Amino acid sequence: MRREIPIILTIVFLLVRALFELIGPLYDFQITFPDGTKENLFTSISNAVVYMSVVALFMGVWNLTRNHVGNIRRKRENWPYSIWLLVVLYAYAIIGIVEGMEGKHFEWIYTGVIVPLDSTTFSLLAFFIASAAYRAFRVRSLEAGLMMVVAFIIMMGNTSLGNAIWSQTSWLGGFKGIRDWLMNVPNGAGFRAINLGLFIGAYVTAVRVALGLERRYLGVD
Amino acid sequence: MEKLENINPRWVYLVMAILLTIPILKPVGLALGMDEGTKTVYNWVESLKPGDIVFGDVAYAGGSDAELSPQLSAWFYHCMKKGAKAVIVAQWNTGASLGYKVCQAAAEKAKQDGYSAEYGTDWVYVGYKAGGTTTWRQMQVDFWNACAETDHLGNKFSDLPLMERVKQWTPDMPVMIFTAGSPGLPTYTNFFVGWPLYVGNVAVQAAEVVPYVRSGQVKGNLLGMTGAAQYEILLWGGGPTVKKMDAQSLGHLWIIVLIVLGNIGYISKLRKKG
Repeated sequence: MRREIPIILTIVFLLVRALFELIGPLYDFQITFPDGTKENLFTSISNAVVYMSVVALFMGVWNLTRNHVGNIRRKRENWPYSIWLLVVLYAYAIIGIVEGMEGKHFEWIYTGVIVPLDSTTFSLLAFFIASAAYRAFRVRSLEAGLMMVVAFIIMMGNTSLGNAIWSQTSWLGGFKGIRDWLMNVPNGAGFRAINLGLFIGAYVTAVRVALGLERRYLGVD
Repeated sequence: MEKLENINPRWVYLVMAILLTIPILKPVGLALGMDEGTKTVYNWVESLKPGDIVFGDVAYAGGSDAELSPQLSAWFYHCMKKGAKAVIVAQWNTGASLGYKVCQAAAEKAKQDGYSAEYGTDWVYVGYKAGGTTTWRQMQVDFWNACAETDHLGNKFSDLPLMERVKQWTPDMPVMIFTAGSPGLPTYTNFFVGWPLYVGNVAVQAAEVVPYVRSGQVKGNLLGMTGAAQYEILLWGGGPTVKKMDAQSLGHLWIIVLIVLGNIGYISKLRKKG
């Protein structure tokens, strides 16, 4: 029964959800609670998903806490970082709960620490990409040469420098014109094929779940 | 010549840092072209009538601040300028506060320029709501319930006059999605079929959006910092992001130079080996 009940619940809710999309008027279907209040069925199901995600959040915090408390107790490698993680996790959460989203200290940590750290980490990509492109882009084959030419055109098409060298208003629309063709035709065709593959795969998985054939989400092979 | 294949990475980083810094301090002023996607988004906002409701979605965080915040700022200002009413949601909880500050600053600028940009009547920042795509789907059926009837600041929807008009998110309320990844555009391409979708993208994601633009599901897209700079040119004739484009150009130029140098070194080594 440990397996059957989750499978039955999954199939029932999958079918209910699909019916909502297939039969439009179902969105207006009302349910009456024992106290006499009425609520839209779709709203109730949506709210249940939100409550479940909140419970999942608490489980995540609990799991993280248990793991890192274990690190600290046993003084595993880099255990001081576990102390720091727990301090940051709980201090930021408590400040946020007490002060609200736009509280003075909560906002200071957000704008003074989180956003700059996030931006800095992303900005480092400029340096790493330069270094990686220098080491990796070698014309070892025809394919590699082709990729390099395409990369050059895309880079030029995206920047004002490219427009200054070969203007958008000149022959073939300049770097921008060729970039647009490369993006729209070969790239567009490639991505469309990838997307179709992805969605067919997702659809097949959904059908397998609906038929009870796919059980890996329960931890069963 | 073979030494060109093994330039010390420190020099690579140092030159890159110089090339990115100098144009910001002293812009070169290279002319910028104009993408069709930028023109489409601009023309759409330009066609809005006073009172039209539009949605914005902040689906990014600090890492994409440089590319997407200028886009959001210019687009939001443009909406206020045209008298459109903007409702902003945020799919990324880590970016919700950042998006609010960008909109707040743009609203202040719009007010200084003589346009109406009052919070609650001209715009509302709903912000992040838990539940992912399920919540976003629920917004179409009952917007108030999906958002727990409160905005980003904790104000009740019943105290915000604009929200009286947004009981449901209907297809006559187009959306501009500022996205840096997941969740982002797929929420709308999968669950908002029939809604006019516009996208503000980070440059690395541009390739993924092309099929949606070509099929017409996405009406127009802004492409990274370039898109923001082009929008600023259309809206103000120039702006802070336009100056940053020089730095981006020189950064790209350095990457191209490095690739050429690396290949000269590689070919020289091959010739020497025979």
